[in-house]
Amino acid sequence: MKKYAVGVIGATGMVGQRFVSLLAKHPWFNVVSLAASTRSAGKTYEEAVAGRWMMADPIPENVKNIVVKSAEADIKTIADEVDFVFSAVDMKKEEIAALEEAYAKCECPVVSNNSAHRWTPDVPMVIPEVNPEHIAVIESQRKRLGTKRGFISVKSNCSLQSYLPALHPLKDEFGLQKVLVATYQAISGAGKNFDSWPEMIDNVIPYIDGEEEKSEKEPLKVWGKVEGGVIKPAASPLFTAQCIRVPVTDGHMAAVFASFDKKPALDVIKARWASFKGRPQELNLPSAPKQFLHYFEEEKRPQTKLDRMLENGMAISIGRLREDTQYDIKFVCLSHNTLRGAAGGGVLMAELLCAEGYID
Amino acid sequence: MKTPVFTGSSVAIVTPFRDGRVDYEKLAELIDFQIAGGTAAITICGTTGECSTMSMEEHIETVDFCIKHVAGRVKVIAGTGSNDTMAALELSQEAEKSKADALLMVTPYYNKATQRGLIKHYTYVADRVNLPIILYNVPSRTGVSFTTDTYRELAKHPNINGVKEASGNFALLASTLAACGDELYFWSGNDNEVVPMMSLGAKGVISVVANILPGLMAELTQACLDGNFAKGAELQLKYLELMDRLFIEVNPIPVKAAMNLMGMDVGECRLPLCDMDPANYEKLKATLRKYGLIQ
Repeated sequence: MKKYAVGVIGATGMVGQRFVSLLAKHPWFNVVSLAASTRSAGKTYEEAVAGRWMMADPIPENVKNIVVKSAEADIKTIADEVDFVFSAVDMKKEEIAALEEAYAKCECPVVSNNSAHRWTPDVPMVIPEVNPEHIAVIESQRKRLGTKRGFISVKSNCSLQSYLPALHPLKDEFGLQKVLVATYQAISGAGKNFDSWPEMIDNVIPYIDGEEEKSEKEPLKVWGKVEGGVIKPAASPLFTAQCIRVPVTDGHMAAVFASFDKKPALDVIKARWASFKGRPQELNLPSAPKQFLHYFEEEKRPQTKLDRMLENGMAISIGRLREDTQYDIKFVCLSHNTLRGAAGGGVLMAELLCAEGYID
Repeated sequence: MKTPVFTGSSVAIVTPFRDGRVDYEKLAELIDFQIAGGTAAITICGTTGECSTMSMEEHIETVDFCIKHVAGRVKVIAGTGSNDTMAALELSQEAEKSKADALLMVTPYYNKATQRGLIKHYTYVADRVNLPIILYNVPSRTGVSFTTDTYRELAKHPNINGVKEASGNFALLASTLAACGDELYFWSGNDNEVVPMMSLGAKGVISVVANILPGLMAELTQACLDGNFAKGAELQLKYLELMDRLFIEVNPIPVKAAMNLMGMDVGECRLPLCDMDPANYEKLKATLRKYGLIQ
């Protein structure tokens, strides 16, 4: 595999730091360019994140002395020195949409953590184990943008990255009809920790802006089909969601209730989870978990603190599968929101795009 | 500059035995208890894990089981030291195949080695694996200690990441840290010396006490990593009697006894390690009672 030169735009925020940290030892990707707001531009990366480095590992040595560029002013320079960029910028939605398109138009593929382009019909929203075939839509996106190499690919919201993978192996075989989900989401999802958000200590906040809409709608695009150069969202199942902020650092948990056309037996569901493999596992991508879906028989699992880092934070943990009194089944699932749900999912998507020839 | 294998507390985990075999079910429970308690890395099959009385096959299998059960949730450091360089290499290569994150290699014991021998021993293995190695200096057990010059020489190897230092020799620690900087990291190998070692720049501890109090050692090391040595010292002194008591007889006899008293059911030690002297056992019980760990 060739070594790709990559950039991270929005490199100083929490997700940007995760990207930088994850890429430090990546076998394919070599960080050569970092960009952020004009406030950080001109400083070395070490200076730019001084006092706000939030990762457990220290700032990687290979990026400390990279001089941070301006994500908005230096697009051409950045596009010229990298094979693609990861985007984790924190700006207004319209500004992000325009900025990412500007990179794509400079023939620089953009693997984005942002929501700005999630509903652009020819932009694939990819969970690599679930809908890798959606990247085929990139061809028509390139025609629209008038590019040869450049395109935008996005990941879905972190909230659904535990329950959607768990439901995926059951959806078609048993005809998934409707889903009710309550999520219990970590504070790092808001880019915060307990120092920067002390109100969350000993507290639950029953509101996360925009999260319920994303949690209900995005699964339908992920389960959609590529048709006529766009992704046509699926018409079903029906989703209803409540998203709640809970006092944990990392890891989103979800309590899920689901009904099917044909109610599957509990042991059959567990067998489907155990045997499920996606494209990343077939391709043996560097960031792919060996076993994507882990089922725990113990009543008290999964636990956020105990299980969020399973397979380096890239696996989904599931437990407490039972029959329900109103729906067919219920269960609990967990994913790491800044690894699988954000930067890790982004890196895995980039690996998929490279392995499938969309980034050369 | 190298990146330290871990920062904070790593447990030197005991190996639970039942009916003469490794009790894997119990080991899995112990590992989960550690992760939930905030332990940054599991050190498996070290001295506390009674590697000296495990067969080669058992040792390799236990390391492999641990890595599979941890499944990336925290780092796993495999004890692969031996006083036979070829045996150390074989254990290290097997641990690499199992995908360990790092190796912990004690200095050759009994047959000992000269300083030149130490350099050759570690370089031989480090040249043949692609994993960070933590050296383990414990002259009270091995009869041999590194010198600053030897540390300086070994620090040049890209795969030699640091030292579990249990010599209690602060002059050696200080002179090595001054000479090697970010090319050789240190972790305390003694629970009762964590704060002074971290005040000089050690990155944490490979801990016996963490077997029973993983949260304490995580909190103590985090306080020091945050530069809050007053808090670290408070915890160090508050728990000093417990830390010392777990070494009233040769480790891991007291810690296994303590775990059994606390209901963790980790089984016996293998001979030549045996059950505790009754008078020492009573002292251990009194200390555990004092800290509220047993009724």
